[in-house]
Amino acid sequence: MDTRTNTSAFDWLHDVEDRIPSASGGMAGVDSDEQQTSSATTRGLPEKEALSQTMSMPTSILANWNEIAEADFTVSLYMHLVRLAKKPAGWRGPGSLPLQSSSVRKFLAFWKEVRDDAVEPEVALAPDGTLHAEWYRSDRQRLDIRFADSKLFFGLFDRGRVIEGADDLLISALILKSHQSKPLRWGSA
Amino acid sequence: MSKQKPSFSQKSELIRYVDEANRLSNNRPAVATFLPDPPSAEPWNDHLSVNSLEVEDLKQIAAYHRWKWQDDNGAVALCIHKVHDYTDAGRKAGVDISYDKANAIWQFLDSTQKRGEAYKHRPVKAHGSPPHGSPSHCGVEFSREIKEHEAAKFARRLCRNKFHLVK
Repeated sequence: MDTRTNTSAFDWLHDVEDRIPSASGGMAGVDSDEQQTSSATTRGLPEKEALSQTMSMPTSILANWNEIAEADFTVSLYMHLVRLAKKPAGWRGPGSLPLQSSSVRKFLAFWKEVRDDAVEPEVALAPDGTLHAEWYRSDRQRLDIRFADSKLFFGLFDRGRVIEGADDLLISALILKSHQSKPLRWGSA
Repeated sequence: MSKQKPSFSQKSELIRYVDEANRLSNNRPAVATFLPDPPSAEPWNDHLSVNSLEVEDLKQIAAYHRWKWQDDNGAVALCIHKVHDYTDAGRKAGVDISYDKANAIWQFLDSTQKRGEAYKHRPVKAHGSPPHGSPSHCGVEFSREIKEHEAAKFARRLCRNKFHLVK
């Protein structure tokens, strides 16, 4: 029996301690034989079909399920993403949109580019349904990025110097990774 | 003492509700808190919703938002700025905002080169059951002129103030 089909995402989340398990780390509550049979792309997460049967997962999360699993986020960030994704249309008044799958996809692609040089950001939802990520060290050192369809919009405040721009994903990642202040390592703790 | 109508003087204060989706650690509002909504079917009427502390106090404003957005539950996050802060952020985002001394009102230049009120009192009449109203509701009217990249510039300059959690 595949125990994954009997495990809801919440049960599963309660089982893990601090990080979403990767394929190498295995999923809590699943023995090693079962780990070997699990899909490599889901990296230990409950499979998409199992999740949709056990709870109503927002489309913007389900549509990016494999990439989210590969991102190896902390449970805290993952849960925050899900909470944002559950916001319905009109969440901030007429015209505000739910989290867009395309914006999540952009965020995940950006994360893949920078994760080796970054700490996890805090995330928020814009009224047009785009995802925002923010890195914060102090009021004078902060970075925000909005993941729009066309480009990434970012604002970097670094001790009186301000860079505000819009560029494609790879160039933005390169600019921010190579910045002397390492803004992607600014954590909010 | 509360007034029936806000003056929008430089130092008068405006409150912005911070949705749960935009509350970051250490009571910081996300940049997204201050981004204008997407254009509606009536783009000439779009505005960024705020409340005036000249008309209602923090607790009254919180009570309305708790009912409107939070099923009457939980602490409400409210961010306080002076009118000057909004004006300054608007100017940095490229909006032409000026003060009409004769009429004592802030004005902005719209895309058709017409001047309009930069801040407008938009009281919400009591509705729902039990009825709730928002007599202090106002609009930051020039927000409809701010698009894409400039909108982020506007929002970034307002997200420095921490929000208050009103229980």
